[in-house]
Amino acid sequence: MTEQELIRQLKAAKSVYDKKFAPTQETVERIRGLLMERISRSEVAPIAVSRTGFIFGFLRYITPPQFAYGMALFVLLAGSAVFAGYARQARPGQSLYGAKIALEKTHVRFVSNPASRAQVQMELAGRRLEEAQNAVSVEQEAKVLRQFSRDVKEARSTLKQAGDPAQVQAATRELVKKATEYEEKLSETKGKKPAREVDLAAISEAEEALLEIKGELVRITIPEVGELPMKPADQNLKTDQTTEAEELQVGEVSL
Amino acid sequence: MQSLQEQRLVYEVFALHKREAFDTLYLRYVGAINRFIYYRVSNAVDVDDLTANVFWRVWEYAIKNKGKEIKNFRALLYKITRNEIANFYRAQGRIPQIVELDDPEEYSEIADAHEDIFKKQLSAQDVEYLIECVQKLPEPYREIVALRYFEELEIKEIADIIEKTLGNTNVLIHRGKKALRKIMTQSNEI
Repeated sequence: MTEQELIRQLKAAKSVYDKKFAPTQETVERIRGLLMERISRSEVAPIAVSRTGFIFGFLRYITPPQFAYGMALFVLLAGSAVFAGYARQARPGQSLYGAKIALEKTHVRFVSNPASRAQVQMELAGRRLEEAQNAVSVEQEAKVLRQFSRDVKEARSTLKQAGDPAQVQAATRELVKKATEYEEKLSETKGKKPAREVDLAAISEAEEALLEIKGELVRITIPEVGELPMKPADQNLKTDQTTEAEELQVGEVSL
Repeated sequence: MQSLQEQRLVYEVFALHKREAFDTLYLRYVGAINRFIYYRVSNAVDVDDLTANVFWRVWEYAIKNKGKEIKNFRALLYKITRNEIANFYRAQGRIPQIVELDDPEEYSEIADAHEDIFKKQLSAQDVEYLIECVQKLPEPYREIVALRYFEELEIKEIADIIEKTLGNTNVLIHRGKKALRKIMTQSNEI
């Protein structure tokens, strides 16, 4: 007899085995009675739970721990993404505005290269400027403009940390463009609203910050940056640029 | 693999101590457990007591291990059954008896009525003879062959029950079949 034949015969014998050793209905009921009586005597009370509690408890019971942790992580990440999405839309004065600023600062911290980080900071300063343009009150506008000034200054000091001349050149070019662009926007903001609806001190502070960064950058930048549109007040800075750029080319200038 | 309904019943018993759920599980498995005990213990009274004890032990286990995750309730039941049978024999200080077959003609109808063509080809005597040979197997093989082919448990479940690895369980099943073939051949020669 082969093994396959033996297995077939064993499977065929199952029905006989079932019949031969199966308990009668009477036996089943008798054992059931004995068992239930014993359980009743044990005085273990069933635990009552609400329908929701039952569903959650059951799901937790049947879910492997690894899967549960994975799901928790997924929910956390999804929740964070939704939160970040909402926060990104927040305007000055709204409850999520603080979270928005915190998220942006976190973003900045994740950029390891100082030249790139300076560009990101300048980009974020641009967002503050847009917020200032759309601010609903003078106080908010002033607050956002001060933040703008701080961001611009931070971008400038971050760029000073960069060491690679090629990266510095690229970032400087970008920052000067942005600074010029922001200057124009700032003038628009000032011009659009009547003087009493604008915090002139904050605007002056922002303008100063832009002038400072442009002055700083122009001193160290490459020749073509000098061709960018500049205000008359900046012209004296442009004269310095040629020699500095030349020095930069021979690697004699450091930030 | 447990069905969702069974998982729910097991949850109700192990986490919420619901008697109705336990009763449902009892009705679902009492036949199989009683049959398995009867196959290994000849005395009908002992069989009923042991069956009741097995389910009582399951209930006690559920109470003591509140909320414990039971991956395979059937495997747990057979494991407890196996322990109960071992305790029973230990208390009696004797080895398992082989159940004598009675009235072979009684089972011929079942074998004949079965749908499977191969099964129809087997005579009632063949089937009886086979079961008799299985009962003559040494204890570890006898149990394992019954679990695999009569109780139709998965190899993984059997491995859980006898607390061996899958590889060891496969080896035991293979040796059981080999021993069974040997017994059948020897009997035929006699």
